[in-house]
Amino acid sequence: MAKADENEGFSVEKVANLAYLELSTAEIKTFGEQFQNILKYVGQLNEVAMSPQEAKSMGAFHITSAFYDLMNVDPQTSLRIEESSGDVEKLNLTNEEALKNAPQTGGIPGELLYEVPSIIER
Amino acid sequence: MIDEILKTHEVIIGLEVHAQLKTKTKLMSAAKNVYGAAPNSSVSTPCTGMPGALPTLNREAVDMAVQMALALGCEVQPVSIFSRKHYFYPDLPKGYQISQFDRPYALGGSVSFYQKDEKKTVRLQRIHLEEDAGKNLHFDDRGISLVDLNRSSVPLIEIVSEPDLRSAADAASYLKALRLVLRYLDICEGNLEEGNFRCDANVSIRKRGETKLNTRVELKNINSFRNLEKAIVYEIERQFEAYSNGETIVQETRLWDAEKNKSQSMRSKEEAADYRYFPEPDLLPLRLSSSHLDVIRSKLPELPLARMERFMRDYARSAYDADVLTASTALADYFEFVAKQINDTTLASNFIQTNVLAKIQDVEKDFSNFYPDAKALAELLAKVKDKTLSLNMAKEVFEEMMLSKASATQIIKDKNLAQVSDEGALRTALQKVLDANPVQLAEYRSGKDKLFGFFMGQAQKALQGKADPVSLKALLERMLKGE
Amino acid sequence: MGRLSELKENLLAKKLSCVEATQSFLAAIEKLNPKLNAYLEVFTERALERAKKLDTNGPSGRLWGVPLGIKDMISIQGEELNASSKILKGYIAPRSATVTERLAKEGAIFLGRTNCDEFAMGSSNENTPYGVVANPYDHSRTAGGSSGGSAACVRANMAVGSLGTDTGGSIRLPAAFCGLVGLKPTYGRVSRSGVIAFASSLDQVGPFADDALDCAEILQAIAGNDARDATTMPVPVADYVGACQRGQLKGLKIGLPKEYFLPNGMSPEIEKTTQTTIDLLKKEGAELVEITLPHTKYGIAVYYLVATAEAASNLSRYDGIRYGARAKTFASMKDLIVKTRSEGFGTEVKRRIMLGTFALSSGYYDAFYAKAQFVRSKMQAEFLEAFKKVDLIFAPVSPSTAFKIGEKMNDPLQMYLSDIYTVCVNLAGMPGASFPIGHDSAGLPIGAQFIGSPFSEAKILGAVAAYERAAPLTRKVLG
Repeated sequence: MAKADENEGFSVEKVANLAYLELSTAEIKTFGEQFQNILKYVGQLNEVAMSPQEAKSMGAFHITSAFYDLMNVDPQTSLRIEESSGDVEKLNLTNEEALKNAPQTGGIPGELLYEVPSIIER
Repeated sequence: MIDEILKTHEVIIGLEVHAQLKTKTKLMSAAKNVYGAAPNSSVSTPCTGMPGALPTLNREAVDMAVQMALALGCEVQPVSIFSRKHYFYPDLPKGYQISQFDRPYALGGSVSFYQKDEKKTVRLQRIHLEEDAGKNLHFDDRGISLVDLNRSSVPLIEIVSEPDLRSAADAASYLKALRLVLRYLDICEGNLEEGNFRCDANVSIRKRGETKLNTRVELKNINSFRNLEKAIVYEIERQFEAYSNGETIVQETRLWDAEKNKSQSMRSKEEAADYRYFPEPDLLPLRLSSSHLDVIRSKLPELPLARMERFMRDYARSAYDADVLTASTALADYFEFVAKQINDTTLASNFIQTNVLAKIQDVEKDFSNFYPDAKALAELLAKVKDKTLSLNMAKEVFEEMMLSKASATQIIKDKNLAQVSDEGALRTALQKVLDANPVQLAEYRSGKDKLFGFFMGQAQKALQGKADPVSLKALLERMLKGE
Repeated sequence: MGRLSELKENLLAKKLSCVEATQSFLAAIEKLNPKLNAYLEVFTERALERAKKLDTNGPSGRLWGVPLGIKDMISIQGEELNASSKILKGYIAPRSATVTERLAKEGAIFLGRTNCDEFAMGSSNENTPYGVVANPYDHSRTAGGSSGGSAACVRANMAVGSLGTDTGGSIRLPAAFCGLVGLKPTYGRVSRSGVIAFASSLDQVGPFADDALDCAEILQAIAGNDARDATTMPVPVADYVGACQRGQLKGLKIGLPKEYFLPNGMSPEIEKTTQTTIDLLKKEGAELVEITLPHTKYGIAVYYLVATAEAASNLSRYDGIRYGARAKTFASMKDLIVKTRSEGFGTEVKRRIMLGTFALSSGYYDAFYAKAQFVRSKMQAEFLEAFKKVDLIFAPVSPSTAFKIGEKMNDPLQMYLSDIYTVCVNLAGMPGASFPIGHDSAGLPIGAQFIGSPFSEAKILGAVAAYERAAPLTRKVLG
């Protein structure tokens, strides 16, 4: 398992590729240096011990869970049911509204689609 | 070729099935869950990834997903988590799919099915809930793709089996059994062609006796049960040939081409995608209490396998018959009503299979308007049981019922079809025939057994075909013996 | 009396009409905004049209005719929304955020969208292609960030109140730099629906205003459970306005976390003013208690892993396909997305996306994101434990007063460290309000904060109001 300050594994190019970002050579260099500092700083988290079970339990962590217990409220109210979804339905869009901001569209008015180049990758 | 291979090698198959849930609205937005609508006509800010839009979890989807898990005997988890699965693609508007990763809502479970008369059970690994993506329509000649987000965020359950399947036929049977559960629960259309029910197969082979698993290959784009079997068989042969040539099998995804009857490797990525899963912060952990599960469990219908086995056990049906008769809830209900009404499961089963099913295109859709309905068919078959009609006659009446929508009773009356089974009438007719044909009687007496049929035919003719053949035969036999 | 409450009174007393009020603010904006750059866009015609309608229909709603600035992260149906980024140039929001919907229902008028750091990522409102926001006290200094525009517009009387967002201090810091009250509600108190997401588990929308009561008026309108946001909670909304009116310092147990008062933790002048405030609280009958929040020191590290990871994820949707800017030339679909993002995002945003992507990537997730969440859970536990002993926590907001524009732009880590007193509150999900406690020798405002237990905004605002009554600050209107 990597430690928080292990920046040997950090490749600016690899991360940029994952993030679908293209960086200039200058940016790669500057970011590389800045990240060295940041990751070193972040490395102090290694001081805090975390067992494998604790790591696993973080998978179910939500910042509000403690609040539900504290305020004695039922978290099931967050599920959307038909009876109370009126406000959420107001977020439904017509075809025109959904495509209004699209830089490029295809199809006929009222039945527009988003247009993109079809070749995935060269 | 395949049979030869399977003498020395065994195939290991696991299936991943995606089933779209028939909810009213989408999984994470209140846009309507529709199929075949005009493009981008059923969308909202969350399912188009608009800035600031947030997901809201559809309770109906959760309940349907739980139904499936309970039906398959899974361990429904008291707490499960949604996770974001990241990749960039035009049909994925947020740049991530909301799915479940390390904490799915259901673990374990199994699916059982009959292969001929043998009952087989396949274990499940897990089931999880996730959003469907939109659709990309490619126009390569114009160099563009058009994106339709109607399908974005439609609810899916992904059902992952353990690699317990050992033949292409079993894989197809497993898939059919799984599909039938979805149909009985009425939570998914189960249509492979339309794409609301999808299946990917993971296939590897190894020499019989080996315990280690070899590299598996994923097969996609399977749009029918037949193609599932074909694709698997093709893959077994492909892998065998490769191993025979000393090649290694590459872990990859291959697309089945139903036209060409072969699979094609998908453009392979340099390395496995890094989806950067992490728990979805915009949704709370999903809590499913045991009381909630109890409520859902109590509303489950009788499931296909249970119903099939009950038909085998209580109605003495063969596995084959029971399988056919439980092909849909409507058909099973139809059969069971008729069988109970006339108190004769064999007659009901045979008549339905031979006559009714021949007229039905789709046992899932066509029963609601089908005539004769169960009551009417029971009335018809009761006439066979009380010997008013012969079986052959009943078939004709059945056809007439379909056309005229009249009852059996009405048709029998109108067409004067009641068969003759009164012994007196039959004896009279038979005696006339025997008296009128002394030569044939003598020939029969001297050994020409075939003439039995001749006497039967003559008597039927005299009675306008209305003689009950069973009684007629029995009586003729006795009369020929001199009784 | 704060200017919002004063204006409310005057409008109801018909001392001026809604149209007249709106016109005067629009005039102020025209005069002052070129220097301060607080507004990215002024909704001149729509605001006047709305004011006209409100005058016609008469008083309705608690904010009838009240003109507000709205941060360029919060949707208003039909208005452009950029997140202060080039990548959203031209984007028109199809639906309002719940908060602006609720404000509109209460009769508020939106004067325009206010400047901020791009995608709310910054502490000085300098990370934007649309120009820095100047501090009304001293135009060579920053107004703080990321909600610099929302703070500056109120301070310079180009609005009587505004909405900002706070993910790691982005309301409280500009409030301190600009001499205002700025409140970050409990996580889950106010809906984030329609608010451009930066860090989903940290973002909250909150008000800027002259004093606690003015803030309470705005909070009263926007707080409450929302079916569109599953992270909001159906906890009853308190009477914030009443709490301000009734607020008392006497008998309050106030915690002083020792980790927030370390030597050299803030400038000497801030230290002195903060101590003066503590003395005043004591004098007014509050009991000051030393408490400890041991995981405080990890705040920045945790924040810059969790927030960037969530941000990297939230910003994946900006690909030029459904809205916003799109690269003009591209060789393929992938190239379209890569070029759009690379051209559209500023440097700080790219930096954080990179950091966040790394924190979530395969092999590093446990050490970074999972570990950060773990430490975060400990921080939350510490706060909750502290609130068993004290009613509120008192702490500084910033180690310094407003710094010079450009001063910290060369070293991102230095800039991140300015959030030291604010981030833990977001990480724990607690509410906090920054309020003015004095000025330094250069006349720049100094702020301090009250931090409360979950859903204790009434207690916080009440305490701030009580403090304001005990130590009234003279405030001049600034340009």
